[in-house]
Amino acid sequence: MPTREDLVVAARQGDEAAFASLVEMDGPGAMRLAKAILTSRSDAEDAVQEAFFRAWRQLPRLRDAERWSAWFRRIVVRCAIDVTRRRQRVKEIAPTRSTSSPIGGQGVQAALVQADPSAATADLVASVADRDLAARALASLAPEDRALLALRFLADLEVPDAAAALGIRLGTAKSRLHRLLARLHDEMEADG
Amino acid sequence: MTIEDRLREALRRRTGDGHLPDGFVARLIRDLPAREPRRSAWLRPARGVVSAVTLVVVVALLLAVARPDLLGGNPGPSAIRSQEPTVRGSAAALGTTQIPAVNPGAGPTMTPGPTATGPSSARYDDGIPREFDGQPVLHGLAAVSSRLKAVPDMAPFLVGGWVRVTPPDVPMSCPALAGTTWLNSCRGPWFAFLAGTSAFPLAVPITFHFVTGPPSTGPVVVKVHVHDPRAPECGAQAPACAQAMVVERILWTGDSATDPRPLTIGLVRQVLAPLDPGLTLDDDRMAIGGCDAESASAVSYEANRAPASGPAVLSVAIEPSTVARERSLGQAPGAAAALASGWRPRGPICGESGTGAGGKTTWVAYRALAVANVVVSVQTSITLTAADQSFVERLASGLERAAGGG
Repeated sequence: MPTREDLVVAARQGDEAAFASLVEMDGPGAMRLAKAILTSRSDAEDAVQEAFFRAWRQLPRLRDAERWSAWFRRIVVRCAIDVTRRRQRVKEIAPTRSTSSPIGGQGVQAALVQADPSAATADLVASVADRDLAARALASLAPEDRALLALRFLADLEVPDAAAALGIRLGTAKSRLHRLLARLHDEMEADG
Repeated sequence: MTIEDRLREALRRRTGDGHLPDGFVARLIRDLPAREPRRSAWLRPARGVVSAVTLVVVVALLLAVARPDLLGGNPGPSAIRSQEPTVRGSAAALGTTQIPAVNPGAGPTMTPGPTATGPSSARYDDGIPREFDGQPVLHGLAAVSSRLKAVPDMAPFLVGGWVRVTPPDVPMSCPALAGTTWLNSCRGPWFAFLAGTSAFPLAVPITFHFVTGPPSTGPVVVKVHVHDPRAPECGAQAPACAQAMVVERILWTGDSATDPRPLTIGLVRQVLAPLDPGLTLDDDRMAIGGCDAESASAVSYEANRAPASGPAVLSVAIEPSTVARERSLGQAPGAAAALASGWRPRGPICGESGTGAGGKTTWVAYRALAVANVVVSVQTSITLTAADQSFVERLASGLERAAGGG
């Protein structure tokens, strides 16, 4: 069975079947990373598709096949952030104040309990709301910040590698990570 | 459970198993874009020769500058140019195309220029020289379009503008472009004719693809030609490549006339220091939009710390001139305009976000404060507080004083 490096070398030479195998091998990881950064599944699919297109175009320039994973991860992050940037442009062109504020735990509970005020439903909703504290805190972050957290805590990268994937300096990554964790801690403590 | 563990769990829930949609791989392979054309076979073996020739030429020119007597001649144009205090990079040290050195017959005919004199003292409003070495520098899409219509041949001409270079390790996005050729290789740099105008998307058919010395972000005067003989390499896009301006050489990369004025990042930092003692500003390599000016000529700096709950500076974008800033953000300068209500383009608000959760979610607005050549992105409450108002007014006042030399 060919290794990832074998597939990269073959794809670099134009082998589309090898590239398809790479997509099957690394697509799920790319999709997870994109979904961590973006808010909708369709956006994540767009970002992953664009990332593979870009990787295919630029693959002949990747000299060291062993660097594929880091190289492709950086492309995925960049594509995901580009998607958010395009969304932001659309928002600026048609500026209507968003009314879709992050749904708070109490709001979820209130809405669902109102729909079905049984005790069992209320307990379930309370459990879901508690579990989702971190998720809601994540959702309130900027995409670049979610990308940093995803690289560090989802992809389990060391900070230097996460910084490289984002194209930022190590010091910037460290300070961002520090203040993000402090902020999320405060928010979750306040809510929890 | 630690905050890190809770984040890991939340991220895993958020992302699921990463299952690809049905048919994703097949569709993706079916729609794979064309790759960039590889260099012509005749060019590849010649690259070493080109490097050697380039090295010899550079050494010879440096010798000509430093010790003209060794070469047995009077100081030539390059030497004269290098002695001019206003020129930051001599033409020899800046980018040139490979083609004339490899295959002179295939490249455009070079028109002998007048005696080298460097940039003229007459400038456009963003500091770009109106002439270089006695030849006119075209500035603005209208001027270039007129030139292309009037003289649709291969004779080179000079163009002035602003380039924004993305670090090579940051892949660029150009999903709107069909196929990939040397004209749209997705690598930039992005070019805008006028300071303060957007370089995204790529609206001007100009390419630095064949320049061996990549440009830096900032102002440039470049020698270009159209109807490049390599246009057929672009396949179906050959007509577009033929119409594109191909940069032959970077002649000039700015001088004191293109330095930011009246406000520099140093002055802005001085104004910010007493207002926000903990604030540091980093170069923003990612150049994410937000309230930042997105023009090719803007240099963006990002606040390197978490926004406070109260009013705070998020980023600073510095244009080379007030005129450029007005092009980039046509908002009235000063605190009153920044504190007005409403979204862009007429209002100062360019974004909102909510932080916190449950009933404690706090919404903030991102406002643009324009003063002279600078746009500062400021976070405030949605409903302005007295603290917001005071912060923006003091910031505007400090910047206005600095801009006025006070």
